[in-house]
Amino acid sequence: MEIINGFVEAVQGIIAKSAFPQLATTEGLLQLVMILISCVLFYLAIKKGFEPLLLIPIAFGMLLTNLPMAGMYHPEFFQIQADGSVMNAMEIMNHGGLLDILYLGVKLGVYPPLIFLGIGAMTDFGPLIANPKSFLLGAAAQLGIFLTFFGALALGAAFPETIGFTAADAGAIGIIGGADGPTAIYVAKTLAPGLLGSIAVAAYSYMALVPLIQPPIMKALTTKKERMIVMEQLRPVSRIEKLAFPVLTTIVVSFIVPDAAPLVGMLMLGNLMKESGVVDRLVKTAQNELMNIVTIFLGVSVGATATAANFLSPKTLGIVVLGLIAFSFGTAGGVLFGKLMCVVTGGKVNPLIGSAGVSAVPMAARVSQKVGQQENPSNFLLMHAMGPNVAGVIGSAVAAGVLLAILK
Amino acid sequence: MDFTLAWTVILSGISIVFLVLIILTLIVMAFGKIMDSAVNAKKNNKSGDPVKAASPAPKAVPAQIVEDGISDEVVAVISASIAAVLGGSGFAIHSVRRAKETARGRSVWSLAGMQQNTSPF
Repeated sequence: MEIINGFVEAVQGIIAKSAFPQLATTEGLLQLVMILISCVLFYLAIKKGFEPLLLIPIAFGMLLTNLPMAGMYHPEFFQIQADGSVMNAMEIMNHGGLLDILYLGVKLGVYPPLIFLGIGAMTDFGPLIANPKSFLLGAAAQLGIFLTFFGALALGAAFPETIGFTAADAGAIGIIGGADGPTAIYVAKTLAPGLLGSIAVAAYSYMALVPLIQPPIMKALTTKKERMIVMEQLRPVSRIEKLAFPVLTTIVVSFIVPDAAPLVGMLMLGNLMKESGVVDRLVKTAQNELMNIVTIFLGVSVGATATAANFLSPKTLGIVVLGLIAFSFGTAGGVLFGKLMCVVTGGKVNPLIGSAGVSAVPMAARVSQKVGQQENPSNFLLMHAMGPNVAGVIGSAVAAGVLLAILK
Repeated sequence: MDFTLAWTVILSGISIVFLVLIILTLIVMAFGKIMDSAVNAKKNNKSGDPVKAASPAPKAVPAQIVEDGISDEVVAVISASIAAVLGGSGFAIHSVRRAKETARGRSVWSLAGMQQNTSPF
């Protein structure tokens, strides 16, 4: 009899400590909703191919953080403390879960620059060096960031109770328009840590939707004649130019916008390693192993910030709408500036390459190529579009530096 | 809504992004010009060289001798590989034939693999 009582008590204890009783509470139900949302993201990543490399870790981080009673991530450890410090380091070290430890890389701004190191090691800046005017298209496509900043502030003012975005929130939401995931995370972790999960999911989802979002805007803003323009072949770029470019860019950007130095610096370090041709082992590591490891850590820990309390709010809905606006205005800014360059150069620039100024490398450049070939099958815009595309990476990092400098 | 802050961020943001990228444009353009002029100066020096000027017309390149069983595509790939290694021009391929593998020696692929794994050390 005693054995049976002991058995029943043990089972009751396990049930009491399990996640099931939690499901009877409102918090538990909201966590269940978040688990369902993470399953939808799995579907989008696996079945629909939406940026699966990042969306799968993000969605799984979301799943883990919303498991009732698991306690893998503690947002309260990362809130600003009474003494002004940005997190409670002692609590994290003593009682932090796995995701708390991984999130340190986001909170301290380590992962996004490391991702940029890998991107730099994979990027060929040759098309940009061959046609430096492409830089201007990369700048024009950042228009979406600043217009969305305005839109977010206006939305916050219109719904102060439910949405109520602050200026810092608006800056973090606007950066979605840069179409650059690591940059968006880098800005959001400083300006709006509570919105990090929603911003990352919106940024990566819309980046996956670039082939759907951009073509209608590109076609609406250009004429058939403009879309058919065949551009002159790019000049060959010497090795010295390719070697000098990362060093000069780092110095110029960091002198003017020091807050952009971690992103641009690591991007250019990766690129210099690649172009130098003497550190193949380091380049392979930056391109593959390091990039993959950091991608997993970044994705899981960013997903972990999407707790039910943070994610299931009208703010997320606002971010989803504003993210779409950011991408659309960025694309429009690039195409319209491309039209201006077309007029100024006497029809030598195809405005379609302007849309590639939103980063999203190389997806946005492929979209320019595809839309151009629909009008003129013998037209190859890809390399011309790669110039604004990589300029957009630098442009969005500069824009991020400006937002951090003003709003931090 | 704080319009002053909003417009400050928008105007300063757009202008700084353009300023930085315009400066980079000018620097890259100037650097390209310097490189071009350096290359042209080198070419002019070479063309001004009396020995070179008096050099005879280049000899006619003999037709390529390609071993049977090697397709045009393979010849194209070999030519492209050599061009990539040698920097594009200044060479001519006279013949393409299969390398004889010695019975005791390593195959070309094995040698390449060994070289890749050992050369960094």
